[in-house]
Amino acid sequence: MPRLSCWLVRCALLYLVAGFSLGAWMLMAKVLSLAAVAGAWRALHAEVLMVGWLIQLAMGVSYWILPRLNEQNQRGYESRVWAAFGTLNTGIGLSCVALWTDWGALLLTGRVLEASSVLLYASAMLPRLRRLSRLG
Amino acid sequence: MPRWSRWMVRCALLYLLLGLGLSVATSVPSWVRAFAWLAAATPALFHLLVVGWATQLIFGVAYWLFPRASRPMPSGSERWAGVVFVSLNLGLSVRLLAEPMQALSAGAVWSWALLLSALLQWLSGVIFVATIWRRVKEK
Repeated sequence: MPRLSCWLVRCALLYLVAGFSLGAWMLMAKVLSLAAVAGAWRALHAEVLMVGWLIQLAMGVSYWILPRLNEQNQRGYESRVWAAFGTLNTGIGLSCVALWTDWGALLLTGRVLEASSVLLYASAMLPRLRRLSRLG
Repeated sequence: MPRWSRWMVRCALLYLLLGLGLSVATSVPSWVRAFAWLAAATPALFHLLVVGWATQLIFGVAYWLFPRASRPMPSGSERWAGVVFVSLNLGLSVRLLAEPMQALSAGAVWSWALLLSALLQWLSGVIFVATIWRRVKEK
């Protein structure tokens, strides 16, 4: 597994623990009436698990496992995927703060960063898929 | 493919069928009116698809596909993989039953069942991460 995939997958695993812990806390709070389960908790839970866990894991594993770019077995565009990794995690962080504080402009910034990260990632991966279709 | 991976993928497929079937049922207004349980099951239904299907499929495939833990035990400890499988599926099944029942009847037994479900699902996630972490390594 390349170093970049290790970072993406490990971050995804940390988000899994955070998201499951938040989910367990919300379920317990609902039962024990510890605190009202506000919309912000649910939105945070969804953000952490959908973007931090599922999307980030998919990015990490596909970068590792999709066909290589060329005959030298290079994956290519590594710096672009590192940028996607940084942008995605900054976006998740900002979105989480924004959801917690109900700060609309910050949420928009976070979402734009997340979308940019996916675009960066897709632009790095498409040439590898084109090679796959050429090979048949 | 390791034994527990096969079980996880099989159960994930069952949850997919169940989740999609229930989402069809909840989109028929007359059924929702007739069966109050269906309306109360919406949060659990969503978790069937996200946890039971997507996350469990990932767990199963990761135990199979990730770089091997060691030569004698390529997919790591079978015992811990079994604990992850049982706690995830038991936790989710209990939730599917207890969450709507607690909303409808507010019995103490359902509250305790929900607490158990929260603990079991949390445990499955934490144990999965603890067991897979050292297999996320550079080649």
